[in-house]
Amino acid sequence: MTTMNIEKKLEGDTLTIALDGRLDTTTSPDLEEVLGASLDAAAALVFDFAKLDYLSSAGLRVLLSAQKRMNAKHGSMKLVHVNDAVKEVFDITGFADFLTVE
Amino acid sequence: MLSLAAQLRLRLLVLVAVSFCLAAWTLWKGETMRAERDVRALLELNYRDVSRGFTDRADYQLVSIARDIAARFGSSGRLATEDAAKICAEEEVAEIYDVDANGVVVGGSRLVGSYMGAGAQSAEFLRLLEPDGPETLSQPDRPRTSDGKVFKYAAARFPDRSGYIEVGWSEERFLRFLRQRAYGYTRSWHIDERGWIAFVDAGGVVTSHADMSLAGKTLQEATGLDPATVPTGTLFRATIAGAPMFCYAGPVRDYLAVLADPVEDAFASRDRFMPRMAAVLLAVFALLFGCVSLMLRHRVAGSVQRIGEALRRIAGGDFGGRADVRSSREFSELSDNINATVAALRAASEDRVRRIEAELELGRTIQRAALPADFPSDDCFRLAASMEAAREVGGDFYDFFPLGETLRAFLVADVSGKGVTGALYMMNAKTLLKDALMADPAHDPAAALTHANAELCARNPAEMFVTAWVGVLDLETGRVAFANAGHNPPLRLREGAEPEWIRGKSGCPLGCFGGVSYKPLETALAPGDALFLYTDGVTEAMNPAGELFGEARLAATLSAAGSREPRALDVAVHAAVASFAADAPRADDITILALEYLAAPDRRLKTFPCDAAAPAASAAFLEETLDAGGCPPKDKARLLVALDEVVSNVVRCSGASGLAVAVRFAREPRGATVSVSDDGTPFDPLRVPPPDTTLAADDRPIGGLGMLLLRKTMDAVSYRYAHGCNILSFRKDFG
Repeated sequence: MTTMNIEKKLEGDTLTIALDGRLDTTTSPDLEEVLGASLDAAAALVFDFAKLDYLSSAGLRVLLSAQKRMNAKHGSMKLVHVNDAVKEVFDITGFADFLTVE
Repeated sequence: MLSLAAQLRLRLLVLVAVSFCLAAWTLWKGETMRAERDVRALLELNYRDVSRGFTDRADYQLVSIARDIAARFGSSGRLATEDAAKICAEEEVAEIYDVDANGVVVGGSRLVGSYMGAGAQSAEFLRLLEPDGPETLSQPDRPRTSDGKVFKYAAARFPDRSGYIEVGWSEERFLRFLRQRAYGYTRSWHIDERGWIAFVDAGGVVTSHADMSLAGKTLQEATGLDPATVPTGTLFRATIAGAPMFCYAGPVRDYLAVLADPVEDAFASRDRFMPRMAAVLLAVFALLFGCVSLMLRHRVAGSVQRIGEALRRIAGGDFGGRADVRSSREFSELSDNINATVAALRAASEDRVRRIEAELELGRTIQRAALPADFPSDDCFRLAASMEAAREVGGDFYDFFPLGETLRAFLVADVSGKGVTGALYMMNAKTLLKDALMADPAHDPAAALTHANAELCARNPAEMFVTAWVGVLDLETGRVAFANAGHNPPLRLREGAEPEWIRGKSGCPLGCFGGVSYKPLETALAPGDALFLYTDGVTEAMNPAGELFGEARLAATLSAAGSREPRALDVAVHAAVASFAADAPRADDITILALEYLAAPDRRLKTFPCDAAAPAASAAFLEETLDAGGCPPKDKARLLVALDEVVSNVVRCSGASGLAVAVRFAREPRGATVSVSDDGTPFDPLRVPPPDTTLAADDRPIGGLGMLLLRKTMDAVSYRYAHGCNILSFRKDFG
């Protein structure tokens, strides 16, 4: 079974979420649930994709939804340690245009 | 036909002969005229002499009398009248005058004391009194001044003193003298050797002739000429005593002189001269003929012959042949003109050949370009095909292409026409068949033939048709669905069995009758079986004896090939046909397509219930399978994303009860193909338009991104609906 570990860390008003595994149809509801619970407290959101193998369009949906919510409250969102497979998906879908990837 | 040289020589001979005759005739005519002129002059001269000599003698006679008397009485003083009468009688003169130095008659027969200068006639003699005057004088007979009687006078000076004696003949005496003279006057007068002069008196009687035996006869009797009608003062011809004569007649006093000279004598020199002249002429003309004919042969006929040889070579198709005769300016120009013409012809001919070749090449290029050359070969099946075009562009073609993951279409066809038109028709037929097979979700060959036939019949201005054998092999099962539009039956080759004809027919050739349906047919291949398709160029190849290669030889060749590998079969049949046909010209294209079914695809298949667990379960199956198949991690990630997109769609939207995921690996190029089948609502997700990826985050709709990712990351994506299932396949070549 595909699984994903989600590591959540709040420092001040910066929420850092590190993903380990795959962000796909099966795992993205888990991330959605985590975000839904903790995003209200954060002014800045950081995704650490160092251990993320890949993501599918289900994962993109979650990222898009997070970006919209952060935009709505004028917060910031950025992605760090993004690997090539994930970057490729961002490029193909045009997400690279509005996501902040470091 | 005589050669040009012989013709020219013949003409030259005629010309020279005519010239010779003309020259000889002219010479003859000239000589004749000259002889006639000469004889005329001769006769005229003789006439003048005979005419003058006739009366001159009278003058001489009378002057002699006067001179005698003058001598006798020169010193004795005056001539008394009695003495004068005596002397007159002696000398037979009518009158004597003794004239003194003053021109006064001092003695004589009459008129003593009168002056001689008183009358015009007697005054003429006064010239004798002049110191340097003549010794004697005579007058023609004429009427005298005093009484009008005709007299003839002559006078002679005295030898020892001034003065003269004049004597006169009466007319009667003078005429008597002439009469006497006329008799025999011309007897010893010859013109040339045999010419003569006849003297004829007023009565037409001959008085004198070279032959005096004729004297006394009339001229008519003597010569046959009539003195009354004989022409005078002109030369004429007459036959006298059997001999042709040149004649001339003229009056002498009261007589007629007829002069004659034998024509033979007149022309003697001409007749002597002419044969020699003719011989010389003949020699000259013969020499001329010889020289000119030699020159003709060398300069003209020889040149013409060489020009002719050059032209024959050129006419024989040797455009490299050149005319090069430089014997004269004309032949040089002729040679140049011929060479220029040949050069132009050669250029035009080469240009035409080039254009025809270019068009044929265009046709061949169209034909070749339309034929796929990358023959598939994998674990499941391999295929080889070839098309050997006849010299002209033919209309054969073959084609093969995959239909989805497991179906392989292949076909062989033969268009009735040739050339560029045939090639274009073939292109059309090929495209129609491929499009029809690909567009038909069931990929049914019979339906494709029906569709292509309708299209071809709708627009067939060239009235061409095409036979075709179309098959679709299902790699999973080895079943071959096929349809045959009037084409040669293929052969199935199986290990340990004789080649087997697959003779089913679905209908007539394409393009003949619109609106007909083609019957679907089916056969089956077991792993290891081969199928051999061909066009009639194989079975109808002809050997030099006119025999056809035929089906039996084809079957025997395939049986003896000892292999079912498509390339080997192709080569074996081509070799057999080539060896059979030997050097007989190839009439038709030879097209072959052979395929060998090796095995069903090597793949893994797993079915899953269509529920929320399906994405994770199917992803686990794929990951395990890809790991076993040696898939690189990066491609594995892409394939897993793709599977996640497809399966999540199926689970979310299709309403299917279950789904199946099949994975098949390919060796060349190395890669994997994943097929996801579901029994849900028929839906082709590939038809959903791709989302706008340029929108900002807040404007982005959710959805459509999965299919976009699928398309962008996979090397091939296809959808079909078959056997009640949506089948979506995607392939990733390992990079």
